Amino acid sequence: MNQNVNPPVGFGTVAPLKNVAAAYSVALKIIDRPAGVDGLGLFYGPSGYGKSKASTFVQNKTSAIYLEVFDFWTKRTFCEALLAELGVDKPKGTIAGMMMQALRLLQDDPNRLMIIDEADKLVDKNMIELVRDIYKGARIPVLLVGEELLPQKLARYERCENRVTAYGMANPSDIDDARALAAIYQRNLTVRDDLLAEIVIKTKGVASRIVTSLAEIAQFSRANSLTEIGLKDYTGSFFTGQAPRRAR
Amino acid sequence: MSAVNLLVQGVRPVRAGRDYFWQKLLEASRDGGSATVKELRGVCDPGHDEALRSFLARMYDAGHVERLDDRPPYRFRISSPQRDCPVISGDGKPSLKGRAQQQMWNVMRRARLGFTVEQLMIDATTDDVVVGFETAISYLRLLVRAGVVKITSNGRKPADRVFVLTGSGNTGSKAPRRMRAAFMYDPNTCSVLGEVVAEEERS
Repeated sequence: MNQNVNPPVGFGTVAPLKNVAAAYSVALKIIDRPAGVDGLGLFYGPSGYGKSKASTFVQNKTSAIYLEVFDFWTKRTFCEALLAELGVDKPKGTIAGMMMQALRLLQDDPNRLMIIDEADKLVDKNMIELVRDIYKGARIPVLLVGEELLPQKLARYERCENRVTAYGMANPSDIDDARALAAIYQRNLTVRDDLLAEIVIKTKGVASRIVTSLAEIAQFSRANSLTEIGLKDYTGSFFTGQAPRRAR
Repeated sequence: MSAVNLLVQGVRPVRAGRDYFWQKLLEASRDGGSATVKELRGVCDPGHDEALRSFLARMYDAGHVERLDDRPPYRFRISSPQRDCPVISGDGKPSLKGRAQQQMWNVMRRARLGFTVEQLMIDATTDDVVVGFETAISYLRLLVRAGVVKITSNGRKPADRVFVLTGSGNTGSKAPRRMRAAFMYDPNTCSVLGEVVAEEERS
């Protein structure tokens, strides 16, 4: 059987997920900010809550510039990566020269959002002032995405923290999110609310684990020729992210 | 019916077309500047006067370009600067053409562990741009043929395959574009006659 039995809520897009909506809302606040209001936004939370998916959605919706920071980055690699994203082929020069070039290019598109993922690494490596310079020099809206402690880490840099005008927190998925994920990822299966509630509890609301659990449930359903499944029907496992323990 | 393999030795962007015109007008508009048609024509390849005039008229009608003088020679400048030329439809309204490819490209660049067609469709779809199976698979086929995307797990059906964007294929933020060209081929000498101009196919 290959018919779509799930309700068409958010079919094919992650838009209905609460964390996606939260990230998009922060982005819109800093893009549509009134004149004179700073445009630095934060979206933060523990890993696995879907921050990256959310920022992908925001990137696509707003045609944003996207940078993902790595541990090995220096100020130079930051500037090179930024210029490469802005379409400069093989960027080179001094850090100051590259920053000036980046500012000039960013000023060509004064309200284009920039998303910086793993932004806490910039704070850890004392490079967050580069973001402030970008913001100060080009006045573009900047969305920093990072781990749970990002706001506290940023608080050490008063000059940056003062510029933050919108916050969004990634939260664990609830049953509405689980329902949306089931509709997106398992379109040919109806998963009843009691089973969805159990998935949310077992996975602690971690979106990536919910998706994996739903895939396991779909496999179980196919093996048992089910097009609809509830808690009492399912005897398989849930993906909790915990390594299995040896029975004693 | 005959087929030929083309060995492309180099490309040179044509100094004309909407993206080029926009870029030149954007440069001229910096710091309160502007440009006349004649000035813009001076930085374009010859033979594109009509395309330039039509571009300016369409952008003016859509509100993206301002005309500064009441009498010719008119000076033009971009009214709301942005890096990329706005895409507008035939009736002058904003168009979403080309967005599906760009959104898929954005997703591919971030999916370092690889992706299936379904994952690509879901992650690249937004409420205003729906990426369907045919759109995704046809773009992936072109990228695989170009060596930009590799298949890491070859499933029986296209939907089961896992794809990954290669490191060397990830050349930048702009999505590779599907181009088309018509050209004359001489079967007597096995050669292409004249210069080949390829144009973008937007979907």
